[in-house]
Amino acid sequence: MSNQDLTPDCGRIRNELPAYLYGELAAEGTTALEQHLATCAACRDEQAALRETRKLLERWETPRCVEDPRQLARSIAELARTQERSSPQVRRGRLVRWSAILSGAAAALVFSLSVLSTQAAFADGTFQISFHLPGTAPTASGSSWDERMRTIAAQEVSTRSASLQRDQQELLQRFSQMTREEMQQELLRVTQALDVVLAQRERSWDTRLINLGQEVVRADLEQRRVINDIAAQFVPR
Amino acid sequence: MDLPDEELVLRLQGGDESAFEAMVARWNEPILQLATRLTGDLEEAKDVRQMALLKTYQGIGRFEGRARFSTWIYRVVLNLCRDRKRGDAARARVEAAVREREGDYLLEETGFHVARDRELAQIVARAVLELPASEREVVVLRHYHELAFPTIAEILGAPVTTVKSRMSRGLSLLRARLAALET
Repeated sequence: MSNQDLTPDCGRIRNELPAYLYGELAAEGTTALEQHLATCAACRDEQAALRETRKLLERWETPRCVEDPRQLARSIAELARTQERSSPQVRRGRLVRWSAILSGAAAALVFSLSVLSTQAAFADGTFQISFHLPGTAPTASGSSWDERMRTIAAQEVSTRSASLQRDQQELLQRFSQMTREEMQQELLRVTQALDVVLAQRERSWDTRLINLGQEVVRADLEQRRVINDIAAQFVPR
Repeated sequence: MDLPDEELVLRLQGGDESAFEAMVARWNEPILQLATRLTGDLEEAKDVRQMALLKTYQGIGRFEGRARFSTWIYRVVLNLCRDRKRGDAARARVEAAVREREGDYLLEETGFHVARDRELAQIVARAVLELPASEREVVVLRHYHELAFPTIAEILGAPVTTVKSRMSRGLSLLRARLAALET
């Protein structure tokens, strides 16, 4: 086929051929195109060749998905949560949240401490609080509760960071001997395991803070009782 | 569950995780197919699928429904595929991007035809993969995903006439490349 076979209409018609081939041409356009094809051998050949090309495209089928979509959805959601936890913005948010809780608890305790001399210790994973009336207490630590809480939190964090570094090194070494598939599976397994640990740790911190809060309330009540007792001695019934 | 995409989006925005499972069940296959045909590499395509679904999950809160969800997800996949430069290594792995035909090995006497079918499939795959990216995107979306030209135009943010002429050019290039083959 040479260019001299083409009429001015041919260019326009050929632009419409894909739409015609895929059934997207409106009725009016279809009639005009078919009329042209009936009289133009070059465009008829072109159309037949494109139809053949379209048929050939059918030969390329891609592999089917073998993954279970539900499982896939869960891993994606899991991955999103992992990323959320490790992104600096969110991490900052979490630290702020924790420090808010910590300083909230600390403020409550400082209120009690303004009246009572209190001794606190963090041992065996729990807070132990004892208090004495002013003057009767042998010890009153110089540092504020707020500071103590921060020290405890910092110790926890540094212990965790050290073990995290060890975990990371171990993981990287294991990864270097794996295929991509194995690596993905391992990563999923590790992130799931980490989540369990994280959830436990959050619960454990929550429990510690609740315990701490209850101690504060008990201390307040005890303080009130002691003041009542003292008042009772001076106020005639 | 046969809810429309937009309903699934609303449910997921409301925190219903099962809506995401339904979304993945629906979009898993089309995303993988599209990415496989655009990158020519099944492993790359799986990475793209993971990224696309992750972006969907993470970005669903910002989806305002100005475009259809399908348009949005196709755009995400196209952009991810464009970011990945396809190299010689991908072309060499094209075998993995072509499906083994089911039951191929069942009839020994058809062995020759099976081999030819697979060979033909790989030739077609290579021809599509060698199209310029803009033509390849249109051919793949129109032919394999059966999207109408106006829909493709919306996905690509291009006029319908441009999309049609890319299709025309794409088919002509394929025709020249595949002319020697018989169906």
